[in-house]
Amino acid sequence: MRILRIVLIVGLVFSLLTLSVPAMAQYPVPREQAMVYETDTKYTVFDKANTFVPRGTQWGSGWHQVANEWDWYINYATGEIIYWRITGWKYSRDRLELRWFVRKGVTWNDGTPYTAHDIVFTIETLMKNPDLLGAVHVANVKSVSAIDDYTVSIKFKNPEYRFHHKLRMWGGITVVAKHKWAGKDPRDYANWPPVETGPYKFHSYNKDLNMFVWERDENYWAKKVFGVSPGPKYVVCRMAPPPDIDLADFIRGGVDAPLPHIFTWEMIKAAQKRTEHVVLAPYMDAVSQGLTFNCAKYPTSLRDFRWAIQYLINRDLLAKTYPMAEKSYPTMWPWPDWKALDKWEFPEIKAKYGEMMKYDPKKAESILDRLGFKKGPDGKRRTPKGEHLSLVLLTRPAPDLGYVHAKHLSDELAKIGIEGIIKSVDPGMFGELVNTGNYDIAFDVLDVAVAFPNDIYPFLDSYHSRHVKPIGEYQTSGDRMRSKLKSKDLDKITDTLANMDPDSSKYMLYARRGLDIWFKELPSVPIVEKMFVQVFSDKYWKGWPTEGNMYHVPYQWWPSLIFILFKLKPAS
Amino acid sequence: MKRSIFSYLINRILLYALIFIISLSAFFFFINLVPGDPVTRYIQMMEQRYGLSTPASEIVIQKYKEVFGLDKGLFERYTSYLTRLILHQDFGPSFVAFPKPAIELILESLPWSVGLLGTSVIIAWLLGVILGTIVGWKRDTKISSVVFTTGLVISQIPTYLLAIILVMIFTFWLNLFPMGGAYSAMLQRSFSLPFIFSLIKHAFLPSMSLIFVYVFGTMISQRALVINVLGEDYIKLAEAKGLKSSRLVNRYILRNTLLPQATGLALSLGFIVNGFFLIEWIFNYPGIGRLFMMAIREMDYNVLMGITITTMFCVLTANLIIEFLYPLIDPRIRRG
Repeated sequence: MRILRIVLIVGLVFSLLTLSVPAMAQYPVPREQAMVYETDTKYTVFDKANTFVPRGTQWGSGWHQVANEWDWYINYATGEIIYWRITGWKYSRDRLELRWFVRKGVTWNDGTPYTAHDIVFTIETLMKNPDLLGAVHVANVKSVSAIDDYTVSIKFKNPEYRFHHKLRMWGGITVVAKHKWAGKDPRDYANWPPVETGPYKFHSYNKDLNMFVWERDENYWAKKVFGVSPGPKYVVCRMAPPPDIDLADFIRGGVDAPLPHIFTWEMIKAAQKRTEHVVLAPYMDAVSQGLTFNCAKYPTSLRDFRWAIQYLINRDLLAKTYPMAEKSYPTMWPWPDWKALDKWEFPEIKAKYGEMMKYDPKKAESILDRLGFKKGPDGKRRTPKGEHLSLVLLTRPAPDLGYVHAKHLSDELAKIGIEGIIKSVDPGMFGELVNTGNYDIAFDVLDVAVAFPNDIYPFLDSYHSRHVKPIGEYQTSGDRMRSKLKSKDLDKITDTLANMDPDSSKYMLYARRGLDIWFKELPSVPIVEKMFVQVFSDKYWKGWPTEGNMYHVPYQWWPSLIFILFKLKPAS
Repeated sequence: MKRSIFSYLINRILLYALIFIISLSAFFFFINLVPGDPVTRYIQMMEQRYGLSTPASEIVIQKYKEVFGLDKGLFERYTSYLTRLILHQDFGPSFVAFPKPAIELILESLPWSVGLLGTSVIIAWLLGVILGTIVGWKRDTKISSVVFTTGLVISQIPTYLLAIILVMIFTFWLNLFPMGGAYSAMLQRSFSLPFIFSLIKHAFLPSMSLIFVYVFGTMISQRALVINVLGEDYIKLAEAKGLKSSRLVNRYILRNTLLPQATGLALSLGFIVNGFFLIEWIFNYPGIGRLFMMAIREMDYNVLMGITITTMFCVLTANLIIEFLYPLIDPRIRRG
């Protein structure tokens, strides 16, 4: 009797718990009206939208994707230039002035018109406060003024060729609403709820559930100006749960757009077996995956030695065994194979180096023999001075793609008698060792410098010797990979390109020469395209980009997500 | 006798303070001697993540080095850290939620961990002690050996694995419990019945995954202690005197096994502030474990220091309390 009573009580409590269904809602808005996407970040900044200070905005909260907008965009999938909040720009002949033409009809989400005065205010704020993030972008600005409500005049100290890129997506200067920010300290002003021009307004956040919710702005300016408006009424951004749970939740329709970094190819294949609502959009990241030599350390300081190592990379094999997608593609270019970037793939360069950048261990051995790195009686190669030859291959731990490549090179090096020591460290330490030059060969993505501005100069400039600091010193500027290359020829070309109009035919000539030197020096070696398979669920929404219809870059964490949202329609 | 208890307590307090200062200092130097410059790394990481293409500006870096006190020498940093910690209980600003103080982040997360894990550990401990006593007392019965063997198997299952299994069964197959979070997304924090129900319902699976494993762990150790005590002469004497089973168990067996078990409980409770990070991660529970993982990933040294110091403080304090209680539980200590 007593046991029965206990069982009954336990049963009652359990029933109460399980029957209280309303207390189980996953989202605070109707699921069928929301597009749910994920991030891998734990949110810590909840009530701030200020890009002038560190941690002024929360990455992955949706602010960057659906609330904030940029003046113009490049659709990297098609090569199209999208003049969004502006109608265009014009540089003066001497490049000492830039006229910026603001589109009429653009408004902030509180209804106030977006005008030239907002841009002037933002640039002036950065000029007056050099300690703000982004201030570095206005270093060459002499003065800024509004000619009228829709025309900005920016005057420069020295001829300027690329200022327009600073107001493009991923550019660096986020325009703020003058009527909200004027008279406030830009270091402290929260801008919350955010006053932006994007298609979504802040709805709510939940700290305990790691979630942000954004609601469609029914008075969105582009509705009237361009006739576009996003399909989903809400956008929910949440922190991704552990992979197994994420997969199960995707299968049941709990999330529309997981993050490809964590929603692996294996998970996609598992999802395809369990649900028909899987839309795949494989696309190349803004960077290609490769390796970088430390050109300040012997023997990777020797150009021919670097080329010898290059001959040990079997790109075809690494592309076929690519772990993050069904397949990847071998590449010789340090940027992704995006339509917008085709112009930089000079046929002459391709003809000259394309054939050379092949897997050829015999060629590698002959170069090493020529350089004096000969095999001893034990089959191990030694330096010309007779010292033991080993290379530190720096990478992040598996399953990082760099680890796979480091393992491959280590095996290939062993075959020709060189010891390749894989040093696999956590991402923080990886950055530390690379930045201080404590490596021989580092495996990582190559620089994004070409991709976003669609310009070769920033890429070549990241290999300029002025960025190089001695080994042990922290390198705070320049390219991500910090090869420490010192090439006078490349420096000269880069300095020339810095002061040229990127749209001129002469620019292309110098760009080709610069690229020629880069390949000859080979401070980095591109290996494969970094493919991400962005996966979407079409249970609630259709109209996603697909492999056959890649109308926009499909990555859900990019600010170009708004252009995908414009295309989404309810699935039923 | 009073004097011996007094000196016992003073010794414990001094030892407590000494261990705390040594551990705190060791951890401070450990973290601060890690090569590198967290601010530069932090600014660069942020720039890369935000895609701002903003080269790290020396002015910005210098400013935030000053904010985080990293422009000073190691010893100066150590003394100012100790002063700030002891006088103001301040761990400094958090890197990831700058300018929010690290202590604020910790205090936001702590109640969730203490609520979920504290309750789970206490329930698991109580059930484990009761079950272990019964299994030990009735060790020759078939059911006892079945329970013991089952317990032995279950106690070896990692909690995170059990958590995933529970989510798969109760969330995705039966759709009875939510897959994560601390309460329903439809509700706001309030002292209302729906919120409390939602809270319990969301805590049910994470709690069960802990209880299930820990209850059998405690049961096994309790069974061993009980069997050990059962071999003592005073038990045989009590049995020979014809004492009732319930009295024998309560007065003679349970009391003599309680000392090591209480120490175990105190230590477990102390470690709660560290959070069971895998459980909290799996269930997206807003506790200290999840915060700790984020702090490691984002290299938020002040939050890391804060959580570690809080954990050290709680473990040491739990130990101290239990050492204070020893004289009450064990008369031999009381008598010196």
